[in-house]
Order: sequence, then C-alpha cells, then structure tokens
Amino acid sequence: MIKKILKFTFLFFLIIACCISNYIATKDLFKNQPEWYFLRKHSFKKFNHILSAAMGFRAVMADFEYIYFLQYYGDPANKRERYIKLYSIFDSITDIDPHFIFTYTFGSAILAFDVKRYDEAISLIKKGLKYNPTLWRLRLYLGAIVYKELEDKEKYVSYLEEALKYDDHPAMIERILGHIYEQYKTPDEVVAYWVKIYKITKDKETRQHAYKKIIHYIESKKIKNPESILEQIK
Amino acid sequence: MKSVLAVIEYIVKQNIRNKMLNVLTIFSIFIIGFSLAISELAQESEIRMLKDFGLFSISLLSFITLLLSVTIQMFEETELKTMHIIMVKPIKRSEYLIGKYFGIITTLFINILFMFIVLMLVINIRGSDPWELKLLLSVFFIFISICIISSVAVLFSVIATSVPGCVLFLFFTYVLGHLTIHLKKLVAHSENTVIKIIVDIIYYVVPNLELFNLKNKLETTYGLIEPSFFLFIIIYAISYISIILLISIKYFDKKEFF
Repeated sequence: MIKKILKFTFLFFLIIACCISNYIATKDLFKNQPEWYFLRKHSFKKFNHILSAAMGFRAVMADFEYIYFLQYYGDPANKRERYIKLYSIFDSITDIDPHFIFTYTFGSAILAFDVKRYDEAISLIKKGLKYNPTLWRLRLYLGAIVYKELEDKEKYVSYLEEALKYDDHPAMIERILGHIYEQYKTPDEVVAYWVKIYKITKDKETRQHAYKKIIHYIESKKIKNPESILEQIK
Repeated sequence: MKSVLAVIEYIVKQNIRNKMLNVLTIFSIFIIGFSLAISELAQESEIRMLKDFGLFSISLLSFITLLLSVTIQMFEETELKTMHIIMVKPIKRSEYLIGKYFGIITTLFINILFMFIVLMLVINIRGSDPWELKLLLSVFFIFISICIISSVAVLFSVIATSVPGCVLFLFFTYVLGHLTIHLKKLVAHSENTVIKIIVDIIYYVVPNLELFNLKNKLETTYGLIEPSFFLFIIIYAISYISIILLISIKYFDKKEFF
C-alpha cells in the first residue's frame, strides 16, 4: 500500500514539474521571441510558410526561397522584363525569416543600383529596419539609395565606402563602387581599388571581375606602373 | 542494472545489424554534395545555408532513424516473436523497456554525433567557425527533442497493435509537437473557453518540441541562450520522458504475449 502511495506521489510530482517547467519555458519563449515568430491569423501569405513554421523548419524554407531568387536573378530571360518579380520574392523571403539580413542588403542593392527601382529598394530596407531596428548598417544602405535617387554622387559614394568597411557587406557593393570610381577617378586610383578588392573579396566572381578589370587597364596602357600591379596580384 | 545494460547492448547491436547507421552515409553524401552545390549558388550566404540545411538534415534523419528503429523492432517483436524469447529470460519487463529506450537513445546519439562531426568538418573546410555556441546548442537540443519523441515512440510501440499505426501516431505527434506552441499563442486572446481548454489539454499532453527548436532561431536567439531557460527545458524533458516511460512500463506490465 505504502509503495503504491509513494509511486503515485512520485508520478504526481513529475506531472507538476513537467507542467510548471513547460509553462515557464513557454512564457520565456513568448517574451523573448518576436511576434512574427508565431503563427497568427494573417501572418503568412503562402501555405508553405505556414507549413514550415508549424513543422519547425522556417529557416530552411527561407533558404530555399533565396536559392529561387538566385536562379531568377541569374536567368538572362528575366532581365528583359527588368526582373519584375524581384521585390515580391524578397518580400516572401523576409516574410518567412525577417532576420535574413543578407536579403535586405543584397536585395536593396540590386533593386536600387541594378534595376533602378528606388521605391522598392527603400521599401525593402524599411521592412528590414522594422524587424531589425538595431541593425544600423541598413540605415547606411538606406542613405546610399536615397542619395543615389537624388543623384548626389558624393553622398552615396561616401555611404557605400562606409558599407565596404564591414565584413558582411554584399560583394555587389564592391563592384558598384568600382564602376562609380571608373567614372571620375584616375586609372591608377581605379586599378589600386580593384587590386584591393582582388585581395579582400570573399566572392569568387567579384575576384574574377576585379582581375579582368586590372588586366584591362594594364593592356590599355593607361597606368603608370603595371609591373608593380602585376606583382601585387601574383 | 546489468540486465538493463544487456538490453541496451542488444538493441544497439540489433540496430547496427539492421543497417540503421546507413543513414549516416546518406547524410554525409547529402551534406558534402549540398555544400559543393551551394557554394556555386548562394555565394555569400553559403555558411548560413550550410548550417540551416545541416541542422535540418540532422533533425529529419534522426527522426527517420527513430521511426525505422521502432518499426523494425516492433516487427521483430510481434511478427518474428522475438519478444517471447525475451519474456522467458530472467529479466523484468520494466528493465526490458528501459533498456530498449536507452538502446534507441544510444543509437541515435551515435547517429547525431557522427552527422554533427561531418557538418562541423564541412563548415570548417568552408572557412567558418564550427565551434559556435548556437550551433552546438542547436544540435544538443535536437538530441533532447529526439529523446522525448523516442519515449513517445516506446509508448506507442507498447500500445499500438500494428506497425503502420505506430508510425502514423508518431508522425502526428512530431507535427503536433511543433504546432502546439503556435496554437497556444493563437488562442491566447480568444474568448472561447472551450477552445482554450482543448488547446491547453493538447499543449500539456503532447510534447512541446518547439521549445528545443533552436535551429530555427539561429539568427534570433534573444533570451534563449540563458541558463534559466535551459534549466526549465531540461527539467521539462526529464519529467516528460519519465512520465511517458512510467506509463509505458505500467501498460507493458499488463500486456499479454502468450
């Protein structure tokens, strides 16, 4: 009899411990996770978003959509219609994972500097700031885009140069800045910039692009000391 | 204790004999292939994607291993009558069940550990830090959530009369386990008391797996890497597993095999 009572008391305490710990941990999760993390009546526009959130693989779904964006952007057929779906793709990626920072930076750079749809670029950056208010790098991008729209070259170049100082900047910024320099700097200054990018970039394509640019300047004999440049990129 | 250890050894050997660890080869091929493909595609987001896909695969493949392990053992116990041989040995039913549970856990531990080592190697080769705290904790929590779902699997294998039934129940538990926290949040502001009570029942009965889902929050870990949160979810895991195992033992003791 005593054994039975002890057994039930033990089970009772286990159930109490289980319920209380579940309750407190859930409360912590509700407090610490942003509102968007949980399913709400109007939280998602697509069924696969609801499914991935409910099954616990939201981040992977955002990655899948990001790969879709890369394929869409890489397809020359979409260039003819100026990548009309770009904004909706970025919107979808950041709906499912509003902390996918690279989508905001890379996406807004493409929208502003490649397809020149400034309103969409600004809207994407503002969405990024709404979910990541402490990420001041996004304000930097916003500044660069606003000044680009206003054709204030000096201002937006200074914003892009500032962005370049951070390790996690998209490689696209490196190429954009190089092409802007080509418009008003001397060939020696431009080549020095491409050499720097050739050395520091993490992106294979940008490195190749920088290399081609350097070789182009050397072959066109516009620079003063081609030997030392070649020495640097060896 | 000796007999429990013997059962653990038997279950682990049985799982290895049934080529359960072949899933590791699949994982290795998948993750290495994926990392090569993604380096071409994603470029600057490569590391993020590698971590996300790696953790997702570890979670999914360990759940599949659990399903396979439980299914094969249930088939052998009921169809091939191996349970009859075990029942006539000098071993208590509770010891067999506890041994079976820890045998499954040991197999899954080997499984997850190997997959994580492969993932760490690939991350290291790709030039990122494989010893990141969030990553280590994510894998640890995947293991804890698999321990919880394994206890439910043991319960279902005792209760269920057919293998497909057991697998189906387990799958729905997995889905509901991730969904309950969303349901709880959804009905938090509802005025319908009946719905609230129903959701509360589901919430406390079904394992709350979303508490352990750190892999989904690698970028948003506010307040989640805190000792108090860890303490509560570990208490939750231990108490939940203990309750489920006690119920399983109670049911298993009364089950008739002959």
